[in-house]
Amino acid sequence: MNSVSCIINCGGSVSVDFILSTMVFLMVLTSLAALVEDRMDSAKDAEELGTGRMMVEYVAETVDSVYSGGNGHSAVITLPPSINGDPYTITLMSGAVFMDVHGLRGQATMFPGAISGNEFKMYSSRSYNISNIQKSENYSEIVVKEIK
Amino acid sequence: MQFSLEQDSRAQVPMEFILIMGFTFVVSLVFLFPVGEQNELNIALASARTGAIEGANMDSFALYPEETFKNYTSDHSALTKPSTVRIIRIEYMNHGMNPSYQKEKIQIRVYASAPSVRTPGERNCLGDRINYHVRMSISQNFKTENLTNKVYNPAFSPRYVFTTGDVSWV
Repeated sequence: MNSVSCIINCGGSVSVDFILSTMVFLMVLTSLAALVEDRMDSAKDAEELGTGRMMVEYVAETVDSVYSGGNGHSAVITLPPSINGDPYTITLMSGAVFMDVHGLRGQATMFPGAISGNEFKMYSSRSYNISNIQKSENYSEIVVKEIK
Repeated sequence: MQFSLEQDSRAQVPMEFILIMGFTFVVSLVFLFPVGEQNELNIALASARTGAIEGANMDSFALYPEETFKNYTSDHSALTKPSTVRIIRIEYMNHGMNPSYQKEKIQIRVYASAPSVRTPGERNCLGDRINYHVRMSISQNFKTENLTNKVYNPAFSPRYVFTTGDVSWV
């Protein structure tokens, strides 16, 4: 067999070893390509699920902190434009936050305090002010307003 | 052993080259079928592993398709909270030629762990999701979605038909 230095000789010809090894390399590469692509898609899906879960927990935690802060406490939350390129919506209800992304739905539980209007829908790329407002002597509720 | 244009001014290749290439071709033909079969099984099992991990991730992060989420909210509310679901290993068993499909039947069994989920009903739901993704991943990889049903059961590859056994919880 020829040495590596003789892979391409001065006459412009290529050694048989080089051709064969390239063929074997290409065959292995072809069979691996499908598997690698599959794993990359899987990693992307996992990232989407993880980001979605973190997002819904973050919103629930923010509402909880506003509620536990007492009357007059407020927080501003800005939602990212997308989760792995997919648009999403977050729905606030008493005791739970729901998130819908890419046909999937997830839920995070929070303190079962009253939400103004019973339900509030939040959209990506928007900022919201979440505040704890006292409505009467023994009743306060979470009021969410979009910041324009 | 070199195919050199310098040695061949009349556009002919040496006899050794022709013999070697011919021999290589014949040997390749002999090994082509078993290698192709094994390669197909390897690809299917790699897809099964990817699918199982996808299903386990979905179970772990508790993000489900809307219809499933609705069912879980009413019947298995514990599954709507995140939990730890890990794939331990995946085994397969060859059940030989299946006369209905004229393909070799392979049953895949996933071994998983979910310490925080204890009731059999809830574990069954998690296992079904994992198995669904295993079959879906195989069908999508071999582009045989049109040959199977809505839940990808069974999943097909050109030479094999794949089913999934109940997930074993360890």
